[in-house]
Amino acid sequence: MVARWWIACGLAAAVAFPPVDARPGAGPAPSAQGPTQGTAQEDGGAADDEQDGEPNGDPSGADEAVDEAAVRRARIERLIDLASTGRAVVRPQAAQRLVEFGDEAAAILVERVGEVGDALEDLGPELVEVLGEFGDDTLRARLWWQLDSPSFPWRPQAARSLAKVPRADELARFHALVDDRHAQVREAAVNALASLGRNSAPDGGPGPTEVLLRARLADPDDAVRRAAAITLYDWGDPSTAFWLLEDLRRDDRFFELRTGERARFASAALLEQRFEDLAGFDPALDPSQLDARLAWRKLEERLLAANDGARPELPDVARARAQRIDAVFGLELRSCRHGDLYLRWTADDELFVGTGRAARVALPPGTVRTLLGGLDDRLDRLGDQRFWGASGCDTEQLHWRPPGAERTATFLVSKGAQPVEDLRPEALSDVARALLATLPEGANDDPRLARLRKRATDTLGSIGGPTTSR
Amino acid sequence: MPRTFALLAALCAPAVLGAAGTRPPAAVSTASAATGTATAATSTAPAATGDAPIAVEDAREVSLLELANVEWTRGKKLPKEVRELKGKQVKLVGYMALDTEEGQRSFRMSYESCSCSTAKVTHFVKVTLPEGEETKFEPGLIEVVGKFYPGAKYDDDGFVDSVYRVSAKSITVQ
Repeated sequence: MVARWWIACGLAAAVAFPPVDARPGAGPAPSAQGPTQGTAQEDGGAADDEQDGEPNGDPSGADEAVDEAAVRRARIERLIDLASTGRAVVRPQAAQRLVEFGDEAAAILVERVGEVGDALEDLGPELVEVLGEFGDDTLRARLWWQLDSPSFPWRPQAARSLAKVPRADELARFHALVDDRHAQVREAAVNALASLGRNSAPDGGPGPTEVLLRARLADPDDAVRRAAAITLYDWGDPSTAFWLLEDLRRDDRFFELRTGERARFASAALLEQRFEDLAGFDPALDPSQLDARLAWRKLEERLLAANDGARPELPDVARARAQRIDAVFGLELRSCRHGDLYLRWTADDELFVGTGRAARVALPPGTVRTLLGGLDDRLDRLGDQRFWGASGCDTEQLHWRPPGAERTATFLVSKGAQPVEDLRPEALSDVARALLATLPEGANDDPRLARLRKRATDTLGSIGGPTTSR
Repeated sequence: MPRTFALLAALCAPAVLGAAGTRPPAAVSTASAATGTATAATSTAPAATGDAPIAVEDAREVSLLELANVEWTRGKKLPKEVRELKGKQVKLVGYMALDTEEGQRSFRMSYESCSCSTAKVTHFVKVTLPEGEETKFEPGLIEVVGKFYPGAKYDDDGFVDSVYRVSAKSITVQ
């Protein structure tokens, strides 16, 4: 009895005041309460790592008499909770720390998620993102099972999780994912194939995998194109580095979102890893500046020299766009399940779909003027409110920037993975319906335009709910 | 579970709320975070803490995207050019993180508006509001001017709480 009491007290103390973790790179284990669930230091002052380079943990040690297994289990359970429901800044760190517990944590996670059901969804995206790193067959099978379900909200995370340590016998499954509707899943699949290597196809030789990756050089999503380009470059094709070089010239925006600058940074990082330096190119600089253009030319010369002087023909979607798009309205849709969709309407009756070199659709004359006519009244009904819902992976934003305005008004609807009834206000649904009606429908050779109205309607439906009149 | 937060249009000051009216105004109004006084876009923003006012144009603009692209891991020093910003007045333009809760003394700022669930800690700057101010969520682009503090801060559990921090003097809707 005394012994049991002693173990219980020791367990509580060890979980609440854990020993400093001795593993390299790991901080102390989380306590049951404390700043992890609240906000930590509110001041802006000196950094902790200016002192010792590492955080100070609670120095109290666990008593050796405590049941070590029970303590470790409690710590694992606590990390699972933090990774699922802790503060946003803590969740990915808690998930990563959990991986360091290896098989012990994997066994508890297997208990939690079972073989079927929604438990994996309840774990949240940060934990799903690391499950593949445990190397556990059951968890891996569970990830694949969920990846096959279009209603599973954490498919990108599951795909990345599997792609971090891909297995050769999963090659065909990754092949299938390079055509997935969700760009982040496609990118993960490309990275998995990169890890498996060009010669990992069952029939040997570079055939199927390389063909699939070459097709991704024209992917509508720039991150997928970059993943394919750098993989093919690493496999010995110097011409694909030109896809990254082209990104360095991008200065496009989606309203205030600097999509071109983001692409420059991403491509610059990949090129720098291969070339050690960028000939002085700074992705933070406007690419039209003289310094940036001179550095770009030097880089181009290097790539030409490596490619026997040949400049490959890039698909239109991969080219840096010169034309500025002054849009009046925009819809920025980011859906856990459907992926991202970027739509812009200009005063000149043009519709642009996507970012970067967006697909252009000429709308019937007067379309946008008609839309503008009804917009004021609809948006006036919203008063000063600009945000509806709660933080989560599903967001839809209506951007509005009438001609001559110096800034964009943004109306944001957001939620987590679960549906929320009547989330979008009727006035915004009115606007959405009017915008959707202008979108082309039906087949199209350009994947950005194929069945566009249906895809946009479905994506909006998955976020703020159906756009039909209530 | 995602945390719910308030349905409010603007941050810090009634004047900013006014600037975020239904129709985008022809000219941007800015406001002192401390006083709520609407001012011209290029004017100074009075400090909340009694410090001398900071001229917005004197603050050095720092790219959130550039900060996000810093490769940093626990225990590793930040690049020299980032460390040299310590204590300097900076101007950041970006978005409040979607997980911003109302009524807090600080919020996370990022170069894009997303839930960013798997983003690295370098993707965010922790912005502490002027004395007496509390967060209200603003979905659009904002500009923050204040003192910059680089370097990791950890919570009591050893998790990285922030790598970049700004002690804000003014926050304005763009």
